[in-house]
Amino acid sequence: MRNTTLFLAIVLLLGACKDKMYQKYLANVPVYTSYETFRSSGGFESPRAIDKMGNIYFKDNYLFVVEPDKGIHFIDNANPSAPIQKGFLNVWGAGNMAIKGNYLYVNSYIDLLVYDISSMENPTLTRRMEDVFPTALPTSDSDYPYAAIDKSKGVVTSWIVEEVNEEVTPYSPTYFDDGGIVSFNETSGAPSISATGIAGSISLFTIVGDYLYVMEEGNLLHPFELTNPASPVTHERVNVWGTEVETLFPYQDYLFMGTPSGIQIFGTTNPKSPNHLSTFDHGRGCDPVVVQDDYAYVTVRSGGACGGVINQLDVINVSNKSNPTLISSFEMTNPHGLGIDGNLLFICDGAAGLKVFDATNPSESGNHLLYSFPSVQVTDIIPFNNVAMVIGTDGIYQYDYSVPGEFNLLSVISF
Amino acid sequence: MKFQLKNILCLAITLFLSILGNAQNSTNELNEELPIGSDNSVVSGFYNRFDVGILGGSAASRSFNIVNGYRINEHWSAGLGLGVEEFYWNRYIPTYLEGNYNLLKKSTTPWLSVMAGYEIPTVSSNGANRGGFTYGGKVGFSYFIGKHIGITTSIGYRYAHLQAETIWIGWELPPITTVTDINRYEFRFGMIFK
Repeated sequence: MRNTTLFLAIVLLLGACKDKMYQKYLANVPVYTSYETFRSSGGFESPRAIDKMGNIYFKDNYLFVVEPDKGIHFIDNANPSAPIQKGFLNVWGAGNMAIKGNYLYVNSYIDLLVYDISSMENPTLTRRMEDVFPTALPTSDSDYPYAAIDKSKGVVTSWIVEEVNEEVTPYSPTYFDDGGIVSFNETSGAPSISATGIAGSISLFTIVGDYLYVMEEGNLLHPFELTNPASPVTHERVNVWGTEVETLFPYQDYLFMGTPSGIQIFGTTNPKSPNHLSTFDHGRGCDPVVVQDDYAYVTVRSGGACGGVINQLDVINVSNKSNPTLISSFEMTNPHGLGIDGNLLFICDGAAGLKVFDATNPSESGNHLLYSFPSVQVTDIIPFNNVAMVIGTDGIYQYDYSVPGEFNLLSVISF
Repeated sequence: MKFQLKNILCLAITLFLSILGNAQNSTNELNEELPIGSDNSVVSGFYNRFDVGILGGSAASRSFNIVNGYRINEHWSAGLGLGVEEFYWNRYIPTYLEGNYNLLKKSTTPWLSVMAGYEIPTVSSNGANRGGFTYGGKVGFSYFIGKHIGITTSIGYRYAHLQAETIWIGWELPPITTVTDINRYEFRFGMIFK
């Protein structure tokens, strides 16, 4: 008995010898808001100044500017020479939006909100789809890693950079976990407008037919059926293997995805579950894509989260969606968003400003610069109906290109 | 390569001290100066101990130590230890002082020991691995099988507080300080030369 007790005591003592490992580092630490407070916030408010640029969207003479994490500015753009800010839709965690008919879809961190915008002066929330984007998080300082998230404390609505000291497992330290960061803070656009609107070229929301497609976590395509636009139905996410999608662009029945290593083309024959048709690879870089007729125009830019050293415009023949082929490349400065309307190709070329090319012959488009505005530092553009709506770090610029040979500034909304 | 050179240097110093210690013991023998008793193992003088062990617990590590010490009297001795240990893919040279108390005035005796020192990392690019303090205590048993040679075994506890900094070269990311508290029991087996 005495020996057994001694043996058990020794086993207990030996078992108590456990190593502990802690990691101290500066990190983005989540700031929580209770679910109740989060879901009771919002509403349509009087116009306010635009503090930070985000995605842009155009429909029915209204220009919508998403202010990341804050909401959507409604701008009456019936007269592009004198746009009128009509109001601000306060949406906590907004990043991307799309419109079908009279319904506006916008993400609110983890939720998808549906607003009836029959009256632009009084949009009303008709549905909140809770927790459909479970890994969505607010924008953050990407220079720092992320501290662990405890969802039981509420919705992560912001970050604070501070030192964390967390215990980790010695054999699998978890530092620099990105927490499944999804920042719906960039927006797409088809050059035709009907029931849906037009977005810029850097979007993670887009509509094809009766489906809203949302890119989550960089590689999960989430289809929402809009047969009843007021009440979307969520479907199984489709995995986009081996890459991180940055932009979605709809063209006909296809989805064009811009990724750091190239573009991917998906078909929507089965809209509930789009299928991969082809991949076109290029050097590493951020690359929004727009498509017109049989040609895709892709800007590849270095720097930022995408890395790479290439800054160029690629023109790709996509007449065969299963076999896209590069037909020409042109060196650029640091191209961001782009747009095409008819024979005009618009490129937001970083420090080189806004450039307009003649794309009558797509394979030679990059050689035919028509206009250049180096002083306009812009990131995305919607060219539609002879008006180029351009957003930059300091404002929204609108240009008239209705008269061949002329490109005239109509108005500026400064931030 | 850096690690090997350091280790070789440490072992060379230790062996040199060991030989020096034995040489002094031999002087004692030649002069037949046995001030405490006739049993050589309990007389004052230098000794060396080589032992290997396992530091166990939630993880396990190998450990090799060399101690050069001096037997002060029948009960007390003190020594300087050096060794090689490994914790989570990093190797360290434990450098420490130890004090021993022999319970019996015989060549076969149980003993108690405490130690404290520093774990010096063998590889530390840009000072990223800083090592850390260590201390511990053991109970053991020594048995001299000859006039100058004995075997020893012990069980004890070891603690080490190790710090390392991860620097991300080529990435604009902040450094991470990793602090590891090592809590281990230890089993050792070795030989004593006196």
